[in-house]
Amino acid sequence: MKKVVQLLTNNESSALSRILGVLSKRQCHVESLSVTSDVFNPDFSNVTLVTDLKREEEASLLIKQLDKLIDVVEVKDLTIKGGVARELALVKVASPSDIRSEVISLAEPFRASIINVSRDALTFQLTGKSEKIDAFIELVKPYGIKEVSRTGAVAFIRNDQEDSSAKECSLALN
Amino acid sequence: MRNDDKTVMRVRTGADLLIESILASGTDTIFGYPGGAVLPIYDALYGGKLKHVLTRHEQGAVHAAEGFARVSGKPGVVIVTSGPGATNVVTGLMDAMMDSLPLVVFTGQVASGFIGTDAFQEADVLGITAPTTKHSFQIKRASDIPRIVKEAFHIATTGRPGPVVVDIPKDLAGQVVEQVPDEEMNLPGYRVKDDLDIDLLQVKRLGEALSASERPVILAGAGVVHAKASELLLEVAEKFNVPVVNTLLGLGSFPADHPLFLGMGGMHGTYAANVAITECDLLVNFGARFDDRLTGNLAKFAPNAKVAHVDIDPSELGKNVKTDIPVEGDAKAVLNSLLMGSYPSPDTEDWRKLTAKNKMAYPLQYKIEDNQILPQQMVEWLHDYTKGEAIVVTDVGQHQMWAAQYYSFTKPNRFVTSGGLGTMGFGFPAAIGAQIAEPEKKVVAVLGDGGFQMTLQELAVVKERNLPLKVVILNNEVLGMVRQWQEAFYEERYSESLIPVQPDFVKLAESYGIKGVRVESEQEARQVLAETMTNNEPIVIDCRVKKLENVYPMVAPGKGLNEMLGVKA
Ligand SMILES: Cc1ncc(C[n+]2csc(CCOP(=O)(O)OP(=O)(O)O)c2C)c(N)n1
Ligand SMILES: [Mg+2]
Repeated sequence: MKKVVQLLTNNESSALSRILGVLSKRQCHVESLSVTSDVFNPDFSNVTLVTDLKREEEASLLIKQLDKLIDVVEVKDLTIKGGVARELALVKVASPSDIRSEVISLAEPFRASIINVSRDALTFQLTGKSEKIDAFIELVKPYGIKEVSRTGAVAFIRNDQEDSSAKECSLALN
Repeated sequence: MRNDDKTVMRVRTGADLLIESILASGTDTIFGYPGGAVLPIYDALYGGKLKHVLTRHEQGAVHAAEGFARVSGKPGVVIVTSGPGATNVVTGLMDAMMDSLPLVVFTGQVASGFIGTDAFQEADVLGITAPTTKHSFQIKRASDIPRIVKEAFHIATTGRPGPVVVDIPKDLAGQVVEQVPDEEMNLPGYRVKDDLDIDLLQVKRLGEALSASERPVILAGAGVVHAKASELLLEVAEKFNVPVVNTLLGLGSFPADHPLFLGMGGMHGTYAANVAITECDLLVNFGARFDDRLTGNLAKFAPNAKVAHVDIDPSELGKNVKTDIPVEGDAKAVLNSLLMGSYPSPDTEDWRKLTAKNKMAYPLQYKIEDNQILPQQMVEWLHDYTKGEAIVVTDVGQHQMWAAQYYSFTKPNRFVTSGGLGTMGFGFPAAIGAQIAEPEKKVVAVLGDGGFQMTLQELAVVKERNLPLKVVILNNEVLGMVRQWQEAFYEERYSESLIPVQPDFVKLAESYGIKGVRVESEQEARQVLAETMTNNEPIVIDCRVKKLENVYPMVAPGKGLNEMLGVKA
C-alpha cells in the first residue's frame, strides 16, 4: 500500500543517507523521493517520500524509526493526516505530422502543455496526481514514448487545523 | 608598556578544544590508539589531565569503552585514527548500538581538502558507521568542536543510549582557533522526553490489567538496569505478587535468590521462565526488546497473554510482538507511577504455586560423570569464591550462557555481556574497561578459548596498568556453541569448530608478565580460586573443562518457548 511521507530534515547529506538507510534496512521500496531546501529555514530540507508497504502495521513502525533519526526534525504520514500530493512530468511522444493533431487532442483533457516541438516528436509538461500522469502515459504509449522524466510526488497537509479523515486524504492522494 | 613577559601564550587548536570539551563532559578516562590523522589530538593529550588507555587494537578500545560504560553508567569514550583505525571500531559500534550503550567515538579523518579523493587512510566513516550509530557528526569548522562534542555526549547518554561518532579532519584538529563561541546545542530533531513524561493513560491501563490478572509475568530487560530501577521493580513485583523473568541483558535487575524469580527466559532460559511466559495471561515487559533469542517462534510466544510493553524507545513498541498496552517511557518512572496508583493487588497465589513448583521440579541441571570439571560447576565455584559479588564479564558462546545461568546475579550492573550482536572478542577488553571503571571491585572475565584468542593482545593493558582482573578461560578446545549446533542439527559434522591447536595460555600470560595457571580438577580449581579471587593480582586461569558438554535447556530455532530440549525428564 502506498504511503506518502513528508519529512523536515537537517540540511545535511548524511540526513538523506540515514533516511534511505532506514528504508533499505526495512526493505521498503522507494517509489519516489523529492528533496528541496526549506523556504523558511536554510538549515532544513523538505523531503517527500513515496513508498509501497506490504502491511499497514509497517507504516507506523517506519514513521517511528524515521522520527528517531536525529537529522529528522519532523515526519508526517500524509496518508493518514490528510495530505495533498502533486507531481510534474515531462513526456516526449513520437508524433509524426500525420498523427500530430491526434496526439495533441489526447493531451488536452489532461491540461498538458507542449513545451517543445521537433520534427517527429512533441514534449508535454503535465502536473497533477501521480495517477493522472500514469493515465496519460498509458494513453500515449501506443504512439511511442521517447522519453519520460517525473519529479515524484511533492506533498503536504491540506489543512492543518482540522484533522482530516482518512477518507479525505485518500481522495486527495488518488 | 613593554611586553617582555617570557611566558609563551600557547595557541589553542581544534585538538585542544576537543580535549577541553571531553573533560568538560565529565570524562576522565578514554580508550584509544594513535595514528597519522589524530597526531594533533594525541599531541594535545600529551601530559594532560585526560587519562588515556592505550589498547593494543582499536577493537579492544571500543569494547573496553563498552565495558566501562556498562558498569559505570557513564559514556565510554574512544579516539582512533582515520581509515583502518575507524573501520576497526565498527564491530564495537554495532555492539553498542544493539545493546544501547552510550559511547562517544572520535575518529580521525584526512584533511578537509582531501576528503573524497581516496587519500591515504581515508575511509567514508560517516557512511560506514551510519547504520551502526545513534548519530554521527563530521567537524566542518574547528570552532564547532565544543558544541558538537556537547551534542555528541548528550545524544549518546540520553533517551535510549547509543554510540555516537565524531569524525575530525586532521587539518581542523591542528587549526588555531582564535574565537571560541560558547554555543548552545542545536538539535532540532532530537527531543528527549523528561524522565517523568510518561504515558499516564497507558500506565493506568497497565495498572488495571495487573490488578485484573490471574497469571501475570514480568519480563525485565536491560532497560530496568539502564533506568536504575531495580529496587522499584522489586517493589512492584512484590506488591502485585508477580513472578519475574529476566532477559540475558536484564540479569541482575531482579535478585536471583528471590522467591518470585523464575530465571532467564529464552533460548537457554529455565523451564520455569519459559513455561510461565507461555502460560501467562498478562506479560509485562519492562525495558526488553523482544529479541528473537528471547521469544523463540513468535507465533507460539505468550499465546494467551495480554502484552504490555514499557520502553523508552517508541519504535520498539509493537515491533516484534503485538502489544495491547504500549507504554512509552522510562522504566523507573513507570514503575513509580504503578506504585503510586491505587491498583489493588491481584490474587496470584495459585499461579505462583505453579511457577514455584516448576522452578523446584525443573531446575537447571548438569550431570557429573567423571572427575573432569564441568563448565557449569566452575561458574558455581566462581560464584562461591567471589561471594556472588563479582562483576562478571563474558565473551560469546556456551560459557556465556553458563555464566548467565549459574552465577546467580543478585544486583544490577554485575553482568556484562554482548547480547544483541553476540560479538566474540568482546569479553576480555570489556572486562578491562569494567575494571578500569571499578578499580576497587572484583572483575572476572569468563571467556571461551575461541573468543579469548580474538582479542587476547589486550593482556598488555592488564600488565601495563596492573589491573587486578581475573581471567577464567572455560577451555573446551572447541568453538563450543557452534559445535553444539552441529551436534544438534548437522549430525555431528564438526566442520571447523574443533580447535585443539592453541597457545599455552599459561605461558602466554607469563609472556606478558602475568601469572597463569592451568586447572584440571575440582581440587585444583578450588585451590586456585581460593588463592586468587581475594588478592589484588591479575591472573589467567586456563580451566580445562569437559569438551562435549552442551548448554541446556535449549529452544531450537523455530520452536516455541515451551518446546525445550534437555529438560529433566
Ligand atoms: C565475531 C564472531 N564470530 C563468530 C561468531 C559465531 N560464534 C558464536 S559462539 C562461537 C564459538 C565460541 O567458542 P569459544 O569462544 O571457545 O566459546 P565456547 O562456546 O566454547 O564456550 C562462535 C564461533 C560470533 N558470535 N562472533
Ligand atoms: Mg570453547
